[in-house]
Amino acid sequence: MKVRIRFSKSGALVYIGHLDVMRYFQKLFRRAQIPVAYSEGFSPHQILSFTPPLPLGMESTGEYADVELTGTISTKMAIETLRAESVPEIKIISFKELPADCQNAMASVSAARYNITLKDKRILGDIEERINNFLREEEILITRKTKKSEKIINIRPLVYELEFDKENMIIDMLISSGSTDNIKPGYVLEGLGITEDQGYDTDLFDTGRIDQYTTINGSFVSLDDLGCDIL
Amino acid sequence: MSELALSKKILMSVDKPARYIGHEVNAVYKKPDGLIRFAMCFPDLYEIGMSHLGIQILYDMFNSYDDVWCERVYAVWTDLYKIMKEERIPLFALESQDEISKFDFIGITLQYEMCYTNILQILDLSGIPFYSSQRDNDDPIVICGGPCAYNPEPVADFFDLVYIGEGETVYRPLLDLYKECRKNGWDRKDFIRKAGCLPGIYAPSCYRVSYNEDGTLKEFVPLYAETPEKIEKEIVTDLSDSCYPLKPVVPYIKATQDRVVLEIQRGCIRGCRFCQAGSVYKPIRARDENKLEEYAKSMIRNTGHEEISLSSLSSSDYPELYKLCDFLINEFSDMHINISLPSLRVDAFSLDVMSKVQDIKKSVVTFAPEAGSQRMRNVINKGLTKEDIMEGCRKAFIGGWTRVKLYFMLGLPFETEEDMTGIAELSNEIAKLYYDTIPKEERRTKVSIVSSTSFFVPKPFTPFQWAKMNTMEEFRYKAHVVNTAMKQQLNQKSIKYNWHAADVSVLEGVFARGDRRLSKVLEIAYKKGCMFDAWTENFRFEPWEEAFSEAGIDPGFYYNRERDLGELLPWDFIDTGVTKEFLKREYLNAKEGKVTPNCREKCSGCGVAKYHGGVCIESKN
Repeated sequence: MKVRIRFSKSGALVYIGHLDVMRYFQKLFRRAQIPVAYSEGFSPHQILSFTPPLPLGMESTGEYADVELTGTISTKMAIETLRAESVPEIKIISFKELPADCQNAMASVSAARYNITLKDKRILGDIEERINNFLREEEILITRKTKKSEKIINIRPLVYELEFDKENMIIDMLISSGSTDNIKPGYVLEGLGITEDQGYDTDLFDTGRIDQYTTINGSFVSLDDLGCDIL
Repeated sequence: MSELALSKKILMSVDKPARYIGHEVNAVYKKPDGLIRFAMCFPDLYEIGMSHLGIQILYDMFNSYDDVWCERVYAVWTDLYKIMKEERIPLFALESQDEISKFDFIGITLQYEMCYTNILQILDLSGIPFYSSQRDNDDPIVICGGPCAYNPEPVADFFDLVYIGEGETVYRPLLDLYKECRKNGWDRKDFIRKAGCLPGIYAPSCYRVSYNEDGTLKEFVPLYAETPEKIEKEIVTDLSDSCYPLKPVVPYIKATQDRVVLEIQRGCIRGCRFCQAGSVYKPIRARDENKLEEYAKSMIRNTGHEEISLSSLSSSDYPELYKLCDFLINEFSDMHINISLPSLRVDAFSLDVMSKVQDIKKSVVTFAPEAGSQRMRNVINKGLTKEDIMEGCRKAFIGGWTRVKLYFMLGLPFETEEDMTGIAELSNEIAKLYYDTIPKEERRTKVSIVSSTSFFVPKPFTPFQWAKMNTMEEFRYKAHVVNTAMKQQLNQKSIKYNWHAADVSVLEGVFARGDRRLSKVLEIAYKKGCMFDAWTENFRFEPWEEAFSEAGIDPGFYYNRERDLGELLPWDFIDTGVTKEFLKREYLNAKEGKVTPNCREKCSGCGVAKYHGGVCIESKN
C-alpha cells in the first residue's frame, strides 16, 4: 500500500538539507521497523518520494513523504513508533493510506503556503498598501536567476493569495509551487518591493512553509487531505 | 533543547551548517547541574570525527556515568574558523552548545600527526592558553589519548595529562580523583601531579627533559619522588566484558563511516615491522562471537543504518569469522542491510563471502603486499608470499572480479632498486595472470590494476623506530623509478599507478618521532595559518618550512637520521609491553630478511605476555 506522511521540520533541523532529510527518513523507517518496500535490482532502495526541497534555514509544518509499504500498520501505531524514534525537530503529523491511483507527492504539488514573519518594524509602514497594489496589478515582472540563466517572469498570476496579519506581523501567501511555474516566497517580497535580491535576510524575515497543495477540480487541496487513516 | 551557539546568519553562510548543530539521533542530553563536564574532541572535521569508533566508545562510557556529561567537539572548517575568530565566538560543544572553556575536561584524541595544528585551533577558539604551564585554576584540564599518544612529546607541552593506552580502563579513577581534588580546594597543579601517578596517565609537566650537545635526548626524569619513571600502557584484558556503544550517534550529514561498526577484535598477530598499531595494540584480543551477534542486532535497531562493517586490523585472523559472517548474512540480507568486510586476506573463504554481500561487477579486490619483492616482504615481515597473492588473484578472476587494488610502500629500510621495480613487475604479473586465467571469449572487460604507493614513515615502538626516513627528493626519485618501470611493462595499459605527496610524509616523519622542542614549530605553523594539514586542498608546505627555520629546528634531525640503538628515545618512558630488546632483535632480523612467525604460530617473546590477555593465554586455556 502507498502511504503519505506529513511531517514538520523545526529548530536546529532547519540546517539539514533535503538529501540528508531523505537519508534521515530511510534510517527512521528502519529504526521504527515500518515495513517499507524496496526496489528490485542489486542495490535496492526504499520506494520513497518527497515534496520539493525545503530551502535550508526554513521551518515547515507541511512536508510530505510518500512511501510504499509491503504490509499494513495502523496510523496510530505508525505515528507512535515514528515519533518515538525521531528527534523532536522532525515531528510526524499524519500517516495515511493513499488511493492507489494517487500521484506521488513530488509530482502532484501545485501550490504552497508560506508565512513570512517581519522582524523589523521599519518595513511595516506601508506593507498593506504595497500588498493592495500588488493584488491590483495584472503583471509583476521579476528576473528569475538560476545558476545558468536569467529569465523574466510574471509572478502575479502565480500568487493566489496574499494577506498581511498586522497583529502577528506575518505576510501569508499561497503561491505556485512544483515542477512547473515554481516560484519562491522571495520573489513575492521582491515584487512587493521589500527586498531586491529574492533572498531572505535572516535579520529581517523568518520564512516558514505552512502546507503544500495539489489542484483538484480547480481548487487547492492540502496533500494531507488525499489519504485516510489506517485503522 | 538548547539554543544554538551560532546565529542563523552565520549558519546560513557556512558550508554544511549541520556540522555544528548537534541534535542527532542518540546524542546524549543531560541536565548539567553538578555534573563533570567533559568535552570529547576529535581535532578534525565533523564528518571524519563522527566516523571514529573510539570516540563513540568513550562517549557512551562517559555518559553511562551519572556524574558526567560528555559532549562532542570537532575542529571547525576554515570558513567558520574565520568568522569565529573575527567575531570572537568561543568554541562550543555540540550538545549543550556551551563554551568548552567552562568545562572540567577537554579530551582530544590524537589519531594522526597531521591534525596537531588543529589542537591549537581548538584551544585558540576556546580561549585556552596553548601551553599547560600558562593555564590557571579556571581552565579545564586538557588531556589527550589515542595512537599518537604513544609518542606524545611533540605536543606534550600543550597537554596537562596524556592517557596512554586504551581509554576504557582509567578514566573512572581519574574522574574520582578529580572530584576528590575539587572537594578539597581546587589546585590544578596538585591535581595534575596526583593524576600523573595513576596507571597509564602521564603528566608531562612532572618530568624534566634535557638534551645532549648533538641534540639527542640526555635525560628524562620525574620531578617528584612519587611520579613514575615509566608509564605502562593501559589495556582492556578481556574485551568481551568491556563496554560497547550500542546506541552510537547517527549524524545527519554523510559521515565517512555511515554505518554500524562492529569491532571484532583489537590487536594483531602479524608483527609487520612497519606497523605501529600492530605493535602497540598487542596482544590480539577477540570479542565473544555471541556478543557480537547481539551487538549487531541492537546497533542496527538503534541506528537504522543500512550497512554494517567489521573492524579490526586483520579480520581474517578472527577465529570465528566464518560463523559471524554467516550470521550477519542470514540475519540482515532480507533487511537490505549491506555487509562490508575490510581488512580481509584474499582467499577462497573471503571471496565466497564477498560474492554474497557485494556486486562482483562493481567491487574491487584489495591486496596490501606493501612491498614489490619477496625479499622486501620478508624484511618487513609481511607474512605474505607471492604465491598467496597470485593464488588470491587467480581465484578472484575466476570468481568474476576484474578490478584489483594493490597497496605498496616506498622508502622502506634496506630498500634496493629491485624492490622498487618489483612493484611494477608484480602489478604486471597480476594483469598477465588475468589474461592467462580467463579465456578471451569469457572476458567481460579489461582487467584493471590500480597500484598505489605511500611513503614509509618510521614510527615509535616498531622495529624501524631507529631507521632513517627518506628525504623528499629520494621519495620523488623512487616514485619516478616505479613509474618508469610501470611504463615498461607489457600490460601497462591495464595498470594505473598513484603515489602520495612526499612533503606531508616528511612532516609526519618529523612529528612521529619528535620531542618536546617541536611544540614551538607547531605554534608558529598554526599562527601562520596551518590547519587541516591532512586535507590536500588545505595543505601548504612553505609555512612549515618557515616555522622550522624560525624555531631554529632542523627537521632532518628528526626524520632523516638513523638512531643509534643505544640512544635514549623521547618515547622510551612509555612501556607498551613490547620490550626494546624485542624491537632491536626484530630490527636485526629485518636487516637479514628473516621472517618472524606470527603470534598464533609461535610466541616470539615480545613481552606483552605480562598482560595475561588474548592470544598470549589462548593456548593455555
